[in-house]
Amino acid sequence: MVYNRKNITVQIIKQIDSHFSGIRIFAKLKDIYNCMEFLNEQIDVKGLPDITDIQAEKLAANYLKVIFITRGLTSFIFITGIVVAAILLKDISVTIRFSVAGLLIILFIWFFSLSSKVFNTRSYAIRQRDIIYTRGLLFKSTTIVPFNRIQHAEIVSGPIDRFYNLSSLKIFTAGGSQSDLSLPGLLSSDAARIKSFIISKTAQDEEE
Amino acid sequence: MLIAVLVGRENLKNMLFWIIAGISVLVFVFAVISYLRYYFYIDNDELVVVKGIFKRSRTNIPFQRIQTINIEQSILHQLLQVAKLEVDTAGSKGTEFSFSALSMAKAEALRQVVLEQKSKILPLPQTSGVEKISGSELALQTILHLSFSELIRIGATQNHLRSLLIILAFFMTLYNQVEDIGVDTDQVVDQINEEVVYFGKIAIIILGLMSVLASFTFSLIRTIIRYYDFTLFRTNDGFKIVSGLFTKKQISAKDHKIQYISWADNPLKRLLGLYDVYLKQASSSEVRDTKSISIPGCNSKNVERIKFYYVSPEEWKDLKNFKISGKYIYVRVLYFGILPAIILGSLMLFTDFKIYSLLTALWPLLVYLAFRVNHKKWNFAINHELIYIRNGIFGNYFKALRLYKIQSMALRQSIYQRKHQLATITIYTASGNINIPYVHLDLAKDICNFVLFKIESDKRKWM
Repeated sequence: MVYNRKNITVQIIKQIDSHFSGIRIFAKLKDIYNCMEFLNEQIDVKGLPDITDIQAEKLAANYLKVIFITRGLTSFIFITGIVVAAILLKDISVTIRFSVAGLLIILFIWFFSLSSKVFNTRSYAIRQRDIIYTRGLLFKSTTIVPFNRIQHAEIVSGPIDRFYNLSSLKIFTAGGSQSDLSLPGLLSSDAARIKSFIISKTAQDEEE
Repeated sequence: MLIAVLVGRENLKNMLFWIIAGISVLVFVFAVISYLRYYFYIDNDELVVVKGIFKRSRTNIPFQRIQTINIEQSILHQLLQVAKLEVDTAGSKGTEFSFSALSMAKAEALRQVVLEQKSKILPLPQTSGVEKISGSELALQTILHLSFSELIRIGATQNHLRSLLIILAFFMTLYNQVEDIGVDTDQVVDQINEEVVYFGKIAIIILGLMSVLASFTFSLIRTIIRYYDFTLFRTNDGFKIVSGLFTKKQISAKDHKIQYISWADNPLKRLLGLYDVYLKQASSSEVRDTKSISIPGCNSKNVERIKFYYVSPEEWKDLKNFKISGKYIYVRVLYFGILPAIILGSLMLFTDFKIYSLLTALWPLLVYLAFRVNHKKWNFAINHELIYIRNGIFGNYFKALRLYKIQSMALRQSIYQRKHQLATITIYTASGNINIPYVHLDLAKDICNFVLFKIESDKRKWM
């Protein structure tokens, strides 16, 4: 018997006790498969849950401001530094000094202007058994961390985040720092709820 | 320092030298203070490490999370009666702690205490049962023993280029240090230059030959010291390796700790039919390379045996084979062939070697040929239990990884890849990442979905 979406069209919409601002989790075929004994039937790969078949959540609206502020501050500091250096380094000729300085300043202004694009490229989705995070402007990357592989989770808030009541959720895995997720721009309340959801799922998996 | 030497000394020398000197002094002072402020103690089934000056940090490591404690002594350590203690945990949060010089007595004592405590505490769900810590594993079978002549053969077929680079790096640092002391290296170098010019091209050839010989000897000696009397055993739950010239090292690699295995050869090794096999174990990122157990000088029969111990022959069946997109070649040639050639070629126009800048046009062609070979070798295969990857240019690199050992997955797309419906799959394991580049997007998604399904439904503990 081959499992595919037509055979088992059970879609359970599970709502958690406390509402995530609009996040809903769908239980799909995998759960039904797991209830059965160990079988080694052919798996119709096309019938498996798809990582792109999700409603991705964008980050909190205020996070855009946080990006603006952080990028703005960094650019500002660097630009002042560059201007000061350009004025003080007298042994290098004027043309070189100021053209290099000009180029670098343009670079930082461009860096700042990318803020809203960066904000739009980031999104996440929480499924029943894993969390998906997409980011990246030049290199778009989608990272998926299954709950049963999470070592632990942390909520972190920088000073600017705190001003807007935002937090980052850091998820640590055993796969090295590159596979650790850092989900920024979450409302602190959401971050807390997601974290406790994840922890309850991780504990559940260990009991199974 | 290197940059200052290479780029040009007149303008930058003074300013840069003082900046670097100043930084070195600061670093030294900082290092001394750091040493004074780095200590640890045991408290309640936890190892607490306190360190730092400005950012004081106290880290608690529960004994349960400690995976291994290794004690190593180099010759210098043995002379001073100290040891290097390494505390290893899985996962990046559990950062590895290494105390590079702890008195031998204390190191042993700490290891004893921790192991005792560990065996008393109920193991975490992640460990499969109580681990036998004492060395009572019965060696069931000797798989491999390296005789001295085999060691020489292995040493002779090592990657000598790497040794050459190590030697070069050593001489570069020596050069810089000599400079620091105040020896006028300009004069010395000029003298050498004069003599070299006097002897002409012969000198350059002799120099070339000497460096090849030096790197060859270096690799050989390194191999002999590292793998002296190397013996690989199979125990009932893993592998055991005993080796060492000055210090006998005993390393055990239990099956359930192995994340994946890889084996490789190079053109030299192929002449002798030898492979290096690596058993990749779980550890935190900083320590990864040293913790991967390497088994050199395996012939193909040995490789098969190790392969089948890790994954049984039945589990290798029904592998579906895939290749990567040909566009891989174009992009790699662009970055490794065309771009460097353009940069180097245009730089050379500014020097006296204008003629040679035309030769740089040959480089992209060579790179293209190399990557064509590489693309042909690039294969990956997957079935219900494992994923198998093969790549390499002149040498062959193989990896075999059980799916349930995977930690997480990622799909990455550059702008070019987005345009052409391609993606790079990244597989994260507790022993490092594995990348499969330029896979067709649909296939990449299917593989991701399948692997995630496997991870999320497999009840076996990955550790």
